[in-house]
Amino acid sequence: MNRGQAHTLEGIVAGMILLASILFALQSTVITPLSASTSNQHIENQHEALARGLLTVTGEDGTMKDALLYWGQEPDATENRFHCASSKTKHYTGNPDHNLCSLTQSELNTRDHLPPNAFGKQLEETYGKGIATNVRLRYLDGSNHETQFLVFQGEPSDNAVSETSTVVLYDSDRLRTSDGGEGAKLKNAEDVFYAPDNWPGERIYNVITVEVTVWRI
Amino acid sequence: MADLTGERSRAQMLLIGAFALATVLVVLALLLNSAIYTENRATRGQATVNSGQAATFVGGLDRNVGSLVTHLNEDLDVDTYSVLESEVVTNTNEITAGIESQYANRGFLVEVPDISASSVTHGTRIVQDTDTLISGPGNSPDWTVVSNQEVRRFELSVDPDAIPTIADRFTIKVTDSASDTWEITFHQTGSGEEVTVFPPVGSSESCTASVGTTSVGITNASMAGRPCPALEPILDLPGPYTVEIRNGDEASGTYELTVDDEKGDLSTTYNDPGEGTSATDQPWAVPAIYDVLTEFEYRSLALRFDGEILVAPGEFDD
Repeated sequence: MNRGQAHTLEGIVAGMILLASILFALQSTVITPLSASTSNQHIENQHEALARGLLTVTGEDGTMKDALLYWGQEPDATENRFHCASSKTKHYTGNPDHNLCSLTQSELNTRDHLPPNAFGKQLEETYGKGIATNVRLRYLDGSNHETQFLVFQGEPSDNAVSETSTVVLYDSDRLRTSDGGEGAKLKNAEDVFYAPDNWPGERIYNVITVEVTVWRI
Repeated sequence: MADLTGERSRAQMLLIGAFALATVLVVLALLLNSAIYTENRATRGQATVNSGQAATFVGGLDRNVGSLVTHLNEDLDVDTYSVLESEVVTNTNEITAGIESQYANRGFLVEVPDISASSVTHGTRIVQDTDTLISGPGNSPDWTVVSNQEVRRFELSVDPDAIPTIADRFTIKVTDSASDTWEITFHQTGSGEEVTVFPPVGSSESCTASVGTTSVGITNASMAGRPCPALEPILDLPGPYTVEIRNGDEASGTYELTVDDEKGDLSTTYNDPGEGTSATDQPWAVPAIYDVLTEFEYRSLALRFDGEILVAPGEFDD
């Protein structure tokens, strides 16, 4: 009888060990950043590569520089801003003030928060719906670094990616009017433009870093 | 006695079997999890050495210093080599100081040592900016543009005549350092302009455009803003080059190119800019910068990258 109980006990223990190990193996899935977030790591890498390509192409063909210079003084405006940006801020957030904008609704970008110029078109074609974008411009003011937003759609999420590119502005570069034509030279527009002439008396006006941040919403 | 021994060993086998299976399952779970986790770590962009950022920095340096060189070359108020040199040096150092400051603000250490006059190569910009015949400074239809020079940024915008005989068409002859001569002919077909490239051996290739006057880029193999495959073999020719024009009176338009010798050392004598817009005042040549050599160092948390780049916008192997 003792032997029978011992055998039973050993059998039960063996079964319990086996059950426990199977349960352990089934329960131990790895918690990775892939499993509990709004974004997939592969998609993030893809967005980063797209941003780098966008900045390279627009830097080479001049559309980025045109977008930086797409600034002016709208008639009857108390502040200068990017053409047809919202009236409350100087940058594009998605609420263009039609009273102060000389472009018609069809000339504005179909996605209001993007600039109505070639750079905005490129941004629109690169990223589809469901992607939020911030474009931040950092310029030099003596030894300080100041920021001016071009596009602002809110604080980025934890899964945002960003890429940067540098552009040099010259004193002889001209501001762009809202229809893409040429306006005043930068050296005459220092009190109107967001960035100051960091090298007064020299050819170079300023060195601006363009930072594009994208994330999924 | 024998029965007891047999039964006991069977029960122990059960226990040992259960232990073995349990170990196998736990190890399997461990292996699978480490495979998943390794793949996850491997796909992270920032965890790896992000060399894309370093490439962006070097590309940006090349592009920005190149834009300065082009800007200064096109400014006709800067017309002597000493002034050009000092402008290039001063402004390049300002640009690189600005870039260094911007990168430092974001946590990257980049160092671009100040350049000096010895990093700058003098050159000449040869320009025809009035729409007249592409004949030489002495109005000769067959003339040598440059002899044995490095050439960059050679762009034309011409309207050629419609000539049936190939030998009578407006032709640009490019001879490379291996004495191979390539001929590029331009003529009007019924439907637009056609550029035909004749290699020293082999058959010719053409590109066409649907309008009469189009821009052609010799150093970037483009026609009317689109790639022209027929011109691409020219990009691989070893320099220095001799560029000649034949039948320049069969086409009219504008063009420019930049070469790497001083204006006074060129084999052809050119006019000065601003003398006028008639055919005898074109083309003209002006002192220019051919290229700028600059060193750089890029340092991030995981990567250190240093080297030097030769900034020459529009050079053949760009």
